[in-house]
Amino acid sequence: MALDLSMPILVVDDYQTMVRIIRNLLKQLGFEEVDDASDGTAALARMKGRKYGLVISDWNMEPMTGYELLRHVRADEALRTTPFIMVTAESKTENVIAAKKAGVNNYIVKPFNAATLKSKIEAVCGS
Amino acid sequence: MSDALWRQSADIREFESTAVVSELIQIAEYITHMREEIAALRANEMTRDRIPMAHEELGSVLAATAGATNRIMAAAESILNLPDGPAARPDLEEHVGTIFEACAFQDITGQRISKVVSALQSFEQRLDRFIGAVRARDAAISDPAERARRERAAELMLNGPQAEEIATSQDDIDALFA
Repeated sequence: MALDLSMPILVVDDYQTMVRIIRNLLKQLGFEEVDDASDGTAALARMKGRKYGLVISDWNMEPMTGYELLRHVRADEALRTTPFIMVTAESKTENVIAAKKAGVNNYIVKPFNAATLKSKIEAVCGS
Repeated sequence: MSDALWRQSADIREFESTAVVSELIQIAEYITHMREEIAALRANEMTRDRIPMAHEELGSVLAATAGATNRIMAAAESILNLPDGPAARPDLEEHVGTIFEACAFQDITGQRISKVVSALQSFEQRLDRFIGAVRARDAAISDPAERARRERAAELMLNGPQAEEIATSQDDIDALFA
């Protein structure tokens, strides 16, 4: 199954430059439907109003972190199957293991490149 | 009271008095030493000059990196939107020139960060000396806001970026998800 380039993607990061970087990388990959939110609370509000094919989230945000967002999403019957990729500078093994236990589909450590982002999106959403 | 008993009592009073004076001299010497050590901290200079300088320099670094990043990203986005073909070459060169210019921020920010690092090294040396002089021990954190911040960071694993040599690599992470 090829990537569905029309699927809406939600980028969650409190650093607007990073949102801009990911938006541009996604655009280069062919994705046009990209929304963004600045923390977990704003992301959940967006997810209640639109069904996303993928969430790409930072970890360290205020007031709701990406880790808390992940746990909320996985606990919500309507949202729990949404693919979720963590893109973060949190590179301790305990973070990776905790995210995996909480149900993250993949994990990217910042700084990353376009090829890494593409391969993880393909692994999570593609064939 | 007999003479012998009176003399013995007087001897004890004299001994106690000498001991008290000796202790007071030691305390006075200790206070003098502490005053010297506190003066050596040059705390006023730290709070009046060095710390505001570090704040200002780091603020400038943040502004410069944000400004440069925005210029570089805007130029890259403009390049992506250029039409195909040789007619776009002049515009392409102009945007590439903008990127080169924006990258010059690194030289200035490097110098600013060096000043902050130098100030931090100076603080470290003075505090090390002071800690040694007073044999300081850390008390429990009394600020409720700081305690709450630390508890939240521990609970939510807000560890921040790690040094390269101890950070988990992308390859190791990929192995966990294979």
